[in-house]
Amino acid sequence: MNPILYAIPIFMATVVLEAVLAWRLRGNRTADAAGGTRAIYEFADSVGSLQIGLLSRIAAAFPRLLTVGLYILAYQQFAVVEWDKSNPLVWVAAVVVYDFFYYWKHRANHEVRIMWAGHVTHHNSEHFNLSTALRQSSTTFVFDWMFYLPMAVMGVPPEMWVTAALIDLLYQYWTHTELIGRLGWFDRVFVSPSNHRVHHGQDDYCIDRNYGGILVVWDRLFGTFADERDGPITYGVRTPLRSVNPLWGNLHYYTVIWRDLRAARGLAAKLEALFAPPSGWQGEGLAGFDAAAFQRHEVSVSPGLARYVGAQLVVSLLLACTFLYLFPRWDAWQGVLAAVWMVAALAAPAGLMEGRRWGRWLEATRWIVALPVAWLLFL
Amino acid sequence: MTPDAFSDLVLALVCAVLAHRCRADGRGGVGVACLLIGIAALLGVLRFSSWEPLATAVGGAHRFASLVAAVAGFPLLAFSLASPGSALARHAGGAWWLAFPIGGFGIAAWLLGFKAWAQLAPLLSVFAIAWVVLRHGGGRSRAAALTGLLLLFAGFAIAAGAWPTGGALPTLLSKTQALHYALAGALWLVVGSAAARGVGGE
Repeated sequence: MNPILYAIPIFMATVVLEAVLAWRLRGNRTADAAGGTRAIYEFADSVGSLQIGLLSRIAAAFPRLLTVGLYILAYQQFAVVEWDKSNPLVWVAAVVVYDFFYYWKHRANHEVRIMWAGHVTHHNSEHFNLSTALRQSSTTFVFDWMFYLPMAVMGVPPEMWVTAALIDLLYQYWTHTELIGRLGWFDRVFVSPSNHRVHHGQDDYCIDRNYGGILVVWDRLFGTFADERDGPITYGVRTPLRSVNPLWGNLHYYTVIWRDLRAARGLAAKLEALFAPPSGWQGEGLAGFDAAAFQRHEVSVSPGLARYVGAQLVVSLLLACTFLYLFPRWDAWQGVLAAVWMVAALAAPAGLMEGRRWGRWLEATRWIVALPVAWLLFL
Repeated sequence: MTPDAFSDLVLALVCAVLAHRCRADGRGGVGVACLLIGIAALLGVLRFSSWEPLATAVGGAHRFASLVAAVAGFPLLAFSLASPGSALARHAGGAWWLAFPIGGFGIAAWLLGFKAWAQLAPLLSVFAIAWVVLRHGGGRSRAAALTGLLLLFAGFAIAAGAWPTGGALPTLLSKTQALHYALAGALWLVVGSAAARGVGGE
């Protein structure tokens, strides 16, 4: 059973709770860098984040066996010592060790273009709330697994590794909020809402800072820590997405790299297009950001469409849970068929919100084919 | 210390010196490549030590590091020598990140059964290094580079099993020792001569 299945209802309930609190406590408004205010929760952004999150779970179902399998193979081939699974302290140590490698994986995700292309999905929301936490990439699996191979060599058993990964992932969820302020000493030891807000900011002092998963001491150790400053943070990325489409949210930076790859002449230049830091070797790609002039991408959705898209999101959520539950029991072709239908179900509402013609076509088509697809999957 | 451990120590020291020099003269890529090979050699010192519990404990780590050196270290060395002006070859940070996926996918290929990649990747790298050495000027540094190249090829021939099992030679040097000394000499001459001729540097 996929443990994320159990977490999904808790995620949804807490997103709703945070949204309610944001309205009750602050009227859903917070200060922005231009001297005005902005929404804490914006409907299209939150729906987009949740759709991206669901898409990531569906995409993750496919390579899961391969990435876990590689870890197991590495463990069987190279493990130097056997970790005592009966000792709780050993499990704590495994989480700390995991968190160390998570730091480096996360740092690479920000400092290498081809890895940033995957991870940018998590950062291209211009809001910062619990729905942003669920906005996970569908493509980072390509590189992520390799950062944990040293744990296999150290002898961390696969079940301990998987558990540590889950703890690290779940811990980070609560740090994506503007409703919790500074927490004193806690902010200097652990990843917290305060220092994680800095991580999601695009202000100059926020770039490439605070990579930790649970412990922020790694950042202090390796020189990437920045404390939150007074004044509002401008969230998002310097190559703005300007869309709520979950597919485009996953792919847009790859198109930037593809353009640079085509323009590059020679192997070295092509490798640089893939592996250079997104901000350039000397930070030259970062110049000229004016937080006060930043225009946030906001999509205006009519109340009727909002109700429809909201209802579709609930349906997609239930179907995604069904997908995750049944995926291990299906044949490969059934898994692919269900995934394709789910991708359409997650992309079409974004098209509707953005007023795209393809959105209406895709929405109509996926419902027309829903019955035959269901027949192939369940009968 | 056993003779095998000593040969790994020599290789580790050569790599450490080269990595330090390369870092100082802006050849981060070559430095990282030497470091990857040096880490494997350092673990080899422990593995081939005469203390059995330590040798057993680090066996897996040494085999892993050797695999990383083979599938990531040598390709990175070849790339950095072939494209010295590239930012990835000059910046150690960039070189680390380049080595990571090269190594990761190489290890994945090996784990999934394509074991020959651990020999093919360094062999292709040696051919690339040979191309670099043959392409660049003459003089004493070229003679040193060619000698290093010969040692590099000899090292891979030894690794592939071209070391006698009978006669006087194996009693003088084991296959492991021969490989380590050949590699140490090869790296010293190839990387050192590249610096002398400005290949692999700014």
